Amino acid sequence: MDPYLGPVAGASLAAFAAGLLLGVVRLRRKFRAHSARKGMKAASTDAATPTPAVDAPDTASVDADTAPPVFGALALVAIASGLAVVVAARAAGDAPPPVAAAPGPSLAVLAARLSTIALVGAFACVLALGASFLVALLERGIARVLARFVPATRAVPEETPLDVGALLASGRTRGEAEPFGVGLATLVLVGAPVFATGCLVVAAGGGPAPAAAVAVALLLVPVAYAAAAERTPHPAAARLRRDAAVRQLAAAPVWGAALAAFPSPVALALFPLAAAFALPGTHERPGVFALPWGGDRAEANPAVRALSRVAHGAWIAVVAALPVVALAGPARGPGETAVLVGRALVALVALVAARAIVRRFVAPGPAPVAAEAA
Amino acid sequence: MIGLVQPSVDPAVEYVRALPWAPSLLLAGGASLAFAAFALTRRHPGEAGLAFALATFALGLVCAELGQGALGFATAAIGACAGAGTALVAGLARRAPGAPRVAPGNEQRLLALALVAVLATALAVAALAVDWPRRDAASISAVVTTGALAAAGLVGVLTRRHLAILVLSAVLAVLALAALTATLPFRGAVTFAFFVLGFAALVGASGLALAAAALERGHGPWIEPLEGDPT
Repeated sequence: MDPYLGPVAGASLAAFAAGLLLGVVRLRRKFRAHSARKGMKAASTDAATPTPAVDAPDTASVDADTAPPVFGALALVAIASGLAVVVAARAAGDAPPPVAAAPGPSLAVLAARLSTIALVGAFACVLALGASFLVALLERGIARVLARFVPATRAVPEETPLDVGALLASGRTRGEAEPFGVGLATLVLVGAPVFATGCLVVAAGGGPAPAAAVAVALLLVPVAYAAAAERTPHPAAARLRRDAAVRQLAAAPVWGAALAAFPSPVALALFPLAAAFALPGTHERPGVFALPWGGDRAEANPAVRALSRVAHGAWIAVVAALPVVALAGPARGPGETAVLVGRALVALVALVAARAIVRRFVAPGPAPVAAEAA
Repeated sequence: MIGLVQPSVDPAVEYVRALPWAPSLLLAGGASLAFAAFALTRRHPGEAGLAFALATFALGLVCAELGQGALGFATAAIGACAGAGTALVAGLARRAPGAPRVAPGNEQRLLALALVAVLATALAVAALAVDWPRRDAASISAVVTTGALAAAGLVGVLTRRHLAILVLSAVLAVLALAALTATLPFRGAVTFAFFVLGFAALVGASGLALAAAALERGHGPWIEPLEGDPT
């Protein structure tokens, strides 16, 4: 468990920070609603019908009644679970059987290591956030380069913008009121890529193989979306989130097959394919296999929109770095670390460029939501 | 005369204190138990599924501490799949407006707790036959952790709030059993643990399919209507 304590600490820290952001938004909204009610009472004009805090309407173009195929999703659940057991049993079969393990570390030893664990956790947190911004920057830059050399003949779906200003503004704006479960799902959504980033850091330092840890963390993404879909009172948002959850679950068996074949060329080809569907984010329109270009684009709450965008970018970085770290093994010394970081950056640029090309030439254009709503 | 009276430490407490314990494993097990208790008492399957996934994640850490990382990853993966499936199945509730929710009464909960307490006592008496001081700290702590988790699963089965909780409780009990199997001191225990894990995956998938079929036909206990939902 020791190698995973740092990543777990990082995920907890990220979830705490995201919770703080969502809490500030909620408190601010409640305070404004309270002030509005107080102002209305002071004016004593009408018999006081307080201004509702929830005001954002659902997306009109989303057909909320048609749910995604639940039994199909359950088949995916069965396949993914079964595949996880088979792959893990195969991996355990190769390893020596350490049933009667050595005595666990004492509380004193744990306490002494807490500082290291906290350091790894904080580093994973900062690295995931930085990687997310770097991905956003690369997406913007590569899109501009492509636009300069290849003129667009049709509408191209844009990535959801992410910069420091947008993230800070998300804490100041008035958000959409949603239940506790949606907030909890958002915390898990933010914590999962930080855990995966921490596992990559630990693996680069000589820890255990990160592929399985990253795969399990990626499985938390559909759980978060399915939970948020179940808890939201808005049918349209529920539909989009359910679609996203089914799409991410559909990627799980491919991801499992890639894990089973790792590090063969087939696995290296399957990884980005699975990751393209497994990334967090919802489309503007319902559709199980609509690829997300950013976070939750149709989300009414700006804080959730920004946090899902951060998670989206961080996962892209993790997916790009995973094959590099897993194939290279532990880095010894600053020289090898620099080479590893350089390779990971090259892989990241290649992945972002591939996504930009797919977005420009293959993906369908954006939905004219505003026109339809009008 | 009064000064000669010494407070005596109960031999059972002394015996338990003298056993080797692994605090890190107990910590992860405690986190798993806390998440499981949170999950199995939720009214809403979405929150239950999310907390259940986190509980199995912590149980996976327990397995990793036992030296069975692969078993831990499979445990966490099954938990995540079951959690996502639960929330998706609960989405079917939106199709049947006004369906009633059947929540257990307190007397049913008390009965379930009493039943689990009787079972736990019987198992504890049987467990005295094991020479625990000769076992290592990790396996003793794992036995306690997984026993508590299995008990929580059993309580969840007996006091289920809705069909989703019933499925999650059963999966939790079987996952705990799988981790417990891995601590057994005989050859092939880990292989057997993977079979138990396969059974957990089967229980989860078939349980969710049955729940979905029942919900689609309008049977069984239901979830509470969402806030602001006119139905």
